[in-house]
Amino acid sequence: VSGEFISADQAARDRIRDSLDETLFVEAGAGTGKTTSLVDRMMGLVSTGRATLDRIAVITFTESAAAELRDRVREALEKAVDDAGLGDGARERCRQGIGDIDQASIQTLHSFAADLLQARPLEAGLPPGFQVMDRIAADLAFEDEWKRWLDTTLDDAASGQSFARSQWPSTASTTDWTASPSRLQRTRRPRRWTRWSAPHRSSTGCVSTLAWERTTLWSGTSTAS
Amino acid sequence: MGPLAGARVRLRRLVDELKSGDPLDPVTVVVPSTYAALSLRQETGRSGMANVRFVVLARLSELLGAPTLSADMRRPMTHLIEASGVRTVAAAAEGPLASTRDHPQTRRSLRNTFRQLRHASPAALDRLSDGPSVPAETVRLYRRFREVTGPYYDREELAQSAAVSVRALGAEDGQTTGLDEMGPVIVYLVHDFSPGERELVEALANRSSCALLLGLTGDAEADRPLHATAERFLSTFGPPEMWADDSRPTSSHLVVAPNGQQEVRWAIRHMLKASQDGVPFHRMAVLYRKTEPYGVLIREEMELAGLPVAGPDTTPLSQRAAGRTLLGLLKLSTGELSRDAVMAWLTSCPIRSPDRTRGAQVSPTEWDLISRKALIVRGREQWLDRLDSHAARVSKRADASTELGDMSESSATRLHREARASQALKGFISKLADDIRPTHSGSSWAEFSQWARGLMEGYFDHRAGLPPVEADSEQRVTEMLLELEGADELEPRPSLAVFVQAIEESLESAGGHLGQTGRGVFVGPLGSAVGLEFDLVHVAGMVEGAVPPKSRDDPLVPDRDRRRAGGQAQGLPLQQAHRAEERYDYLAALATSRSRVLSYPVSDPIGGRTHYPSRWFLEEASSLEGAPVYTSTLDGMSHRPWLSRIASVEAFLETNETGGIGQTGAGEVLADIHDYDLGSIWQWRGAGCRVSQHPLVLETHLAGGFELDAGRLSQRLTRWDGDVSAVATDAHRIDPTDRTSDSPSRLERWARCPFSYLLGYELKLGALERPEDITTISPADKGLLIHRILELFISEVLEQGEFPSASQPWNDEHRTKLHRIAGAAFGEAESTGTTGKAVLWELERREILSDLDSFLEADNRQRERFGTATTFVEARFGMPGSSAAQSWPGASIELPDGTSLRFHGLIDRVDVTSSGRDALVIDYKTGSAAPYSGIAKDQIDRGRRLQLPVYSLAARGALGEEVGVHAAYWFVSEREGFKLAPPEPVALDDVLEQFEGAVTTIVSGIREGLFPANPGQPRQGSFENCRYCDFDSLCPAYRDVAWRRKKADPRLARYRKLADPVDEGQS
Repeated sequence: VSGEFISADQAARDRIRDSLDETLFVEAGAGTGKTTSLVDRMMGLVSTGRATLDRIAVITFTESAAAELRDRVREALEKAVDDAGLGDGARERCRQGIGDIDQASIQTLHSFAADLLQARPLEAGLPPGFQVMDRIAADLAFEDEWKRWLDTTLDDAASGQSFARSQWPSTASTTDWTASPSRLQRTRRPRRWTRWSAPHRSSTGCVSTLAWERTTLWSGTSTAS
Repeated sequence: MGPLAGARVRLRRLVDELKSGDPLDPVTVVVPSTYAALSLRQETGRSGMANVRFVVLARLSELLGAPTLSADMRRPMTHLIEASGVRTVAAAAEGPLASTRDHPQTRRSLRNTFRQLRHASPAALDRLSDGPSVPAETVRLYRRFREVTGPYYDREELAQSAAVSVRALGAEDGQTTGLDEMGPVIVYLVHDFSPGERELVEALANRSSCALLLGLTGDAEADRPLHATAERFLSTFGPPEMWADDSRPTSSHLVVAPNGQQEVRWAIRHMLKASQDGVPFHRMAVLYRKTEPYGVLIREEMELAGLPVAGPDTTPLSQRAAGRTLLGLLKLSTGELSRDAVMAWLTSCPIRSPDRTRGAQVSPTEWDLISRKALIVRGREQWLDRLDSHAARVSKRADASTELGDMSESSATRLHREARASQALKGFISKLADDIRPTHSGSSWAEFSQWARGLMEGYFDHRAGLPPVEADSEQRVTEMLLELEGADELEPRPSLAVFVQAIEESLESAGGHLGQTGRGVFVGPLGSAVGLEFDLVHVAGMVEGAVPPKSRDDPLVPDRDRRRAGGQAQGLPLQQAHRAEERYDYLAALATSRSRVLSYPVSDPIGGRTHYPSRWFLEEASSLEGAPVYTSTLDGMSHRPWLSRIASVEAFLETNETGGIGQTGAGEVLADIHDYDLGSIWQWRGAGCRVSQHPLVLETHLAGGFELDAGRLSQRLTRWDGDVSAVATDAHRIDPTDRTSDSPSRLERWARCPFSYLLGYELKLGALERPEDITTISPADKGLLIHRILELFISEVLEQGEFPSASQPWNDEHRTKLHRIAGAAFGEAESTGTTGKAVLWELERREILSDLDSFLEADNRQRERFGTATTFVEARFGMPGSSAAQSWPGASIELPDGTSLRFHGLIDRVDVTSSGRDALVIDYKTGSAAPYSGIAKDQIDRGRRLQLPVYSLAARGALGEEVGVHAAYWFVSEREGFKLAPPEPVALDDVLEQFEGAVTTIVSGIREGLFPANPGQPRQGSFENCRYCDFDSLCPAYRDVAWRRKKADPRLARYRKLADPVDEGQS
């Protein structure tokens, strides 16, 4: 067999690489070259000056995928710098891109979200320079907050009643909540913060990854029937 | 000769030239850091140079500028004053910053931004003010900050003042004492000048001899700011001397380690090898970019290996002993004196009692136990009341037991000691509660400071044998508190919360030094090494995202606004400048030595993350390879001489490539004794020998470990899983028949799980619940409470002659009486803390009252059914030391070997018919009836239900042999329907033989010292004997497998027959 191999979907691959003003949805199976096409498109954006690397967001599912992509982009940029076939302008832009690779948003969705919030914290109701807790610190903070809430709620009959209503709205409004003595004991500790709300403030200045919202916290976590 | 050797030679020549032939003429050298100053001072000392002063720029500014500012009554702006100023203006933040203005992180961000705005021109600030709301508000606050901190001068103002002084004095008469003492000035390798500092250097250059030596890295990005600096100084100095590290390193090596710890241990082995080759420790350095985890990790591993360390102390004061002590005290002062907080403080800090009299020592572990037993959760009054009650309870128990003779002397002594310790703790808490209440809240910083210093004086234990760095921390805390006294001018009348915030923020800073420079291996951040010179430098943590760190835009004044306002040219630093700075620090760190090692850990086990190599790590790899190297291709380069890859500890031991670099298998240097031991055992195994026979194993506790492992896997009960027969000798008998008397529940426990018996009754262990975790009354405490109420009620009715006949129901008066008694008992229980949280207790209380009401109805039916005429309640039997009026005689049985076993106990209730010929022994039960389901078929339930036969024996002994005794458990709750178990009470004579057989088996097993762990049948995710066992977490997860293995031991045949009759039948 002789001659250059041309894949059946070459046109689609070319479109991904060259049609830089078009928004595309690419669907393909594992191992078909999605990452290669993505790198090609990024190279097209950078080398033509359409965008600099620090103005491109590439979102991946895992940290390892992000690291691999960064590595491949770096490799492509370094090869482009030495590619005599490219014009001087394109090669210079690729050289700039190598310096920008650490600033590029090639990251997981969570990292991207955290970066967005770091850039615009006040709009999200967060203090500037907030830090995202690691998993262990977040779990410890959660335990502390859970105990504090439990202490406060269960030490006071009025808050206990309010709690019961939030748990069993259909019955608590019409019957004495204390008529279900074992319900409260059967309530389980929620598994994690469930949504963003007001920032959880701690003396160390950290903001919990997910914040405290009592009513939502309970939804779907109660074992009461 | 290091890469900076050329610059150093030039410096030496310059010094010689500037001394004008007189070696004693003064010369001042301005250096980039105090460590560079120390290093050069030692070097010049060795070379015989005299009267050369090495200072950092800030110190030079202070020497020349501070006198003028002090004369104007200006004071230095310390970090505390700066923080106070920031706090003052942040409190008045408006618009977009209003909602987060009280957050400590907002204050930190404002402080950082204010520092960056310090060099901005007025025009740039004006432009920012006219822009978007966030930068505009930030600039407004900054200007306000400058106003309120007006009486204080910062580093920039100091430099400007120094420049003015130099110019003024030079113009007047050319004479100034300070300057004359300094002599000519050489600015050596300083790379970062503020506008004021540039002004000062120019003033010095215009007045007298001054030379400037700049150090280049050879990298365009990193050197850009330096070229800009040279440009600015052009008119003053002409083209400055620039020294570049353009030489190739003599040795460069890369290391890929499995984690940070192995990475650091590799560096230690490498340094030890270098030391053997003649490199002194002070000529080596380990540098890092990220303080977390390397600041602590490197220091700890080096201490473990016995290597001396020198360099900056990166541990915040808040983590030092004195800082922790002060923070703990302040936390207590703002909290509710919770037991958790008090114990955390006591057990993590060197605390002494402010009461210096004898016997007032702090005993954290003992106090923790006592506070748990006393069920203390929080609050001064609760501490004092419950400690008092606990002490009284313990003393009473000790006294009563001594009187009755049912407790050994040592046990009674122990209880008396516990009572004394409770009182000591009460005294400590009482004093602490008074001391932590600031008497001058809202008055002044000075008074708060005095109060805090008094607390430290009273509670921080100076004599605790602290290492020097910890002892120094106390001095630093005291200095900080003294410094705070000056904050009244900025923030008058602070609240306690503000004072605590100020302390917290101040203690977050690090400072101080570790070890002695010139003796130990230099350990510090990359930036701290600029201007130093080593023979070997190791840069650890070369991880993507950390070296260089991803630069973050300032959300308060972002780059786009800074650019709009003029950017760098107008004194507003941009992110690009930070990146250049990072690059410069990294290359300057590499330039400290011609022999370099870069390393990175593949994973972070604690964070559960995978790391990837830094771009700069790959850059070095590419340079060594002579071709581009990427993360993906690095994996295939394990055999390159410039790369060491440590796959695991085992792989290291196998190849032992520490010696190192490029000489696989040639190394013999080990980091410490643990490396030696592991390597030795590894080689032994490699030679085909059994690890368990290695001399290191046989000589240490490891041998026990191997024996334990083999023993537990065997089909015999061993000393590792409950066989104590070897120690159950005549001298240490554990024979129930030796005791004065026994309780049936002890024997039941052995029948259920002998191992649990061993731990609970022979070793006297038990789990002590944290009072904070008591949310609701425990089933045991609830049972005690109901028993107590029923006992008091029926006793009172009997005393008053009101006990109804069999056909007569309880009336309303009885019901009222029962409620009154219950109410009093509830009150007592609440005061002890056993009832848990108020809301849940209310539910339980209502449930108990409802059960008590139903009890009266059920009791009517019960008495009518049985024909009860009278009853005995809480009938004691066999109580040691009791008189016949106080206690019935004990029950006893003869064992086949002729010995007898005596029992004591307390029967809830014995109902007697009007004829007196029949008695019904009742044992109240308040929990679930499910565990008792077995007695319907087997009245003693495999030896696990012995109470009824024992109580029946006691009742017969008291009432007469002619009385027919029956017995049953009575479940006195609505949930269990007030049913009897078994439904037909058991006649004593029907179970006696079976009972004696079970007791004989149990006593034999205990005598023989056999205590296997028997989990019983699987039940609801656990096992029937483990669900409520205190020692559940001590047994292995595969406990059922272990029991199946152990029960093959022939010595357990009798127990097996008792505990697993079905299993036995099948086998």
